[in-house]
Amino acid sequence: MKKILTARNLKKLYGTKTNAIAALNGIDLDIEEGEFVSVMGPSGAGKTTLLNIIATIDYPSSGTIQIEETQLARMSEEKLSNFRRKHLGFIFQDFNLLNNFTVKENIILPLALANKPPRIINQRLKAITEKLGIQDIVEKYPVTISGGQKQKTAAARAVISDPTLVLADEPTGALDSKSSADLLGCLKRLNQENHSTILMVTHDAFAASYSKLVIFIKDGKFFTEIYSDDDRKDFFKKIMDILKSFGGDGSAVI
Amino acid sequence: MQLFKIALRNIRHNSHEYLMYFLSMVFAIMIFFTFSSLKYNTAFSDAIASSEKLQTGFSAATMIMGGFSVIFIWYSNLFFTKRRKKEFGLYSLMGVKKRQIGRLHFYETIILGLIAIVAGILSGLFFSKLFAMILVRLMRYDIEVGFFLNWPSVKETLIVFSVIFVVVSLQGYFIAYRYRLIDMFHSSKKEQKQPQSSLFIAILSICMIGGSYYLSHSYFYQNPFWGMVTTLMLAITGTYLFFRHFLYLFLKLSQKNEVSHYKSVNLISNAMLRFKVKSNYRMLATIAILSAVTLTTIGTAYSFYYLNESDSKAIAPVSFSYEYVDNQTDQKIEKLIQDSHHALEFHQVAEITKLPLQFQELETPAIMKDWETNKTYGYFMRLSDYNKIAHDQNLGEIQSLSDIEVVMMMPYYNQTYFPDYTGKHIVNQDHQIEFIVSKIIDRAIISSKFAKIVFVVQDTQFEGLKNLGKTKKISMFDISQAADSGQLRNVISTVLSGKTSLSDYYSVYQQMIEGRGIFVFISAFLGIVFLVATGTIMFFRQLTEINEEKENYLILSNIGLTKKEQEKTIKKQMLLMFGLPVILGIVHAFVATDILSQIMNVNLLYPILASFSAYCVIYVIFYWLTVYSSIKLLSTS
Repeated sequence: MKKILTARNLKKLYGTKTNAIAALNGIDLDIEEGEFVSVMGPSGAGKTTLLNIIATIDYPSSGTIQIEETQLARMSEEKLSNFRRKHLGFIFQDFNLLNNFTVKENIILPLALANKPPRIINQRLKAITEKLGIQDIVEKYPVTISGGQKQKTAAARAVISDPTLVLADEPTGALDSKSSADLLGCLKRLNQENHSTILMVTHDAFAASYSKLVIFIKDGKFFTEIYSDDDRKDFFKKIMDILKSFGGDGSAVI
Repeated sequence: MQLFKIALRNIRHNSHEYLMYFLSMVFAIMIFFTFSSLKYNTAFSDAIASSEKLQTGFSAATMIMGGFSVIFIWYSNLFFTKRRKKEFGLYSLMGVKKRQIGRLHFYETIILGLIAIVAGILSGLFFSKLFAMILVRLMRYDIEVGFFLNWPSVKETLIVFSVIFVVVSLQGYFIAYRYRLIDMFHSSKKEQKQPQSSLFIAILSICMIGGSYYLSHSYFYQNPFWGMVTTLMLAITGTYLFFRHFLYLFLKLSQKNEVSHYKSVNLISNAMLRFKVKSNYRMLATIAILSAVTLTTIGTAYSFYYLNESDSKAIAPVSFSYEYVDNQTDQKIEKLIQDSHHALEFHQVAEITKLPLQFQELETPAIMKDWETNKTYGYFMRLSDYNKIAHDQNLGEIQSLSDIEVVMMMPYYNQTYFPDYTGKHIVNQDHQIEFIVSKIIDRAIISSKFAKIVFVVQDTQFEGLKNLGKTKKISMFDISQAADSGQLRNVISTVLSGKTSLSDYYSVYQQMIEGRGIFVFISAFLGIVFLVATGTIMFFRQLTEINEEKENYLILSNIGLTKKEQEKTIKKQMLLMFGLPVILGIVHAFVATDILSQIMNVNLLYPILASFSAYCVIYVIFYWLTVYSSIKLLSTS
């Protein structure tokens, strides 16, 4: 399997030098092509910081990070923008859809940024919206569609350009349970059928149970990891057991 | 007093937001003060001949300026107050009483206003000498204007703007007082609903604008009053509908062109513009109309100023002319001219004879009517006399005329406004005179003091007519630099006084240019104020919207929009927001001034292009300011 992401000894310090607080305290992370990885951990464990650093929106204080062959350190902002558009897809908790854009315009944005020809854009749009079941709402504006549809739109936007890595930050955080299950099913399908590599940060054990691998971090450090054996209910139980060991009874972190 | 301190601190803290607004307010007050001080400056008005024109001109100008300031300040204040609703809500939440919030806002507005008044008057004082000198130059005077401070104008400016600011501050007080807490938190959240537009109305708007252009060039001539009313109504309504429906539909339809729409910058700009157009169409249309009115006024004023020479020539074609007294007088005048620093270019005595005349086939022009006797008259002139004068005046010599032909001299003649007189007969039944007009020349040959409409006839015919009509001889002198011959004119006038009456080019030219100079001065300064004010409103509206869109730009940058592309989309959006109203305003004004040049039968392209380009330059500056500030605002997030 091809290595997509290699992170070594990532540290992120906040505050002054003498009184620094580590959000990340030496994390190593490897993701291979076609994986669906969830990162879990209690609040303040550094999940979002990790994701932001991988997303090139934030910088690590030290450590190296490599996506495919590209070293992310010391790239200019211009280059980072170009890198993001080529290699990364994003799904956020609060959708981050552009309200002034139609669903279609939101989805095709990454392809338009890459200056792909209209024929290819339309082809990809059709394929992806049909797979996610949102082909009937493409001309609508985000304010007129449901939360589940919004997040599917965001998912479609994240994968339409076939990025190396899809990053999802609490994608089910603003959804009800039915829409959550629907969306997670979609992500799983994208992972299995389109071989999209997905890295998801969540504190929802139910969401994590859809992935193939769950990595737990605590206090900015690697804690443990477990692989799915394709039985989602069983995997969910295992995840809950680990969460319980964090302290609290598990339901608190759902 | 605690509230007063908070108000002061708020102003200091938000000063960067208020800066543009504050500067344009100061500018408006400064211009108001300048107009007012020119109105009340007795030393200045005593020194010039047209002091009455000056008084009425600047009274009207201060009134317009005051009215416009009310609208500008009221609108801007409303805008800023709305933007601060959330802040007021926060105060309310912390337990500040509504009355106190209202007072806080009242203090802020009034302090800002007072500073603006003081700064406006001070800068007005500072620049008033410069402005007065500009006016003096425009009026072609050679007087020194001292540094002047007159209390009536300071008082007037203080009173007018204090009243405006107190009223506006009270309005702010009531706005802050009226809002419920829940509204305050909702106000900045904009509802993003897709606007509806209709293809029918979009097409109608174009038809209305086109129709108004057409009517202005046809119906206007038949019925100036109703022509103007319908043209204006159509143009204004059409402009509003254009921005509301046509522009939106255009943006929507341009999505259909996938090759261009699927380009990142186009896609983003188009989507953002669709919403900008919705929230801004009223302002865009208002700017287009205001620009058109301003440009038409400035264009007209400058054209009149530009045409002063030819207009003066239509009244007094040669430098000096008077009814012939005797040869001795003529020689005396000739000597006076030769002794001056002007060169005598031409001296001629021409004979004209006045006879009752009317057109046979069509209505006789009103200008030929003598209102006392209610009869129409015309003047005849020898062909040989004409040719001598024509040579000097570059009128084009007439080779020959048949016995029955005349050439009609009618200043300002043009075929759209007047009927075609060529081939028509002029007759005098009593004396059985009948001639055919063979040609019309749209210039004057004799000062309008002595003859309005002149018909040139063959010399032999003239000898016959001479005995029938009232005949007089006119002595004519043409000199170099006639526009500056004030001194010589006074000398000649004294020599001739009591003997005959003088018509001179200088007096006509000077009297006209004084009025026109005032007109140019006032319209140019009012125009600049309008421009700066609308540009400012545009500036802070666009920046506010960019501020609200910050989140969107952040999302875009996360997806991979580079800074360069972001800049491009902003430039593209601002280009349309600033460019379209200006272009439409210019086209409107161009059509309006075209009527003027048709009526006056002159080519006004140069003065109009000059004033339009000056206008564009100011707007381009505002465009760059807005683009630059937007980019800066987005990069600080």
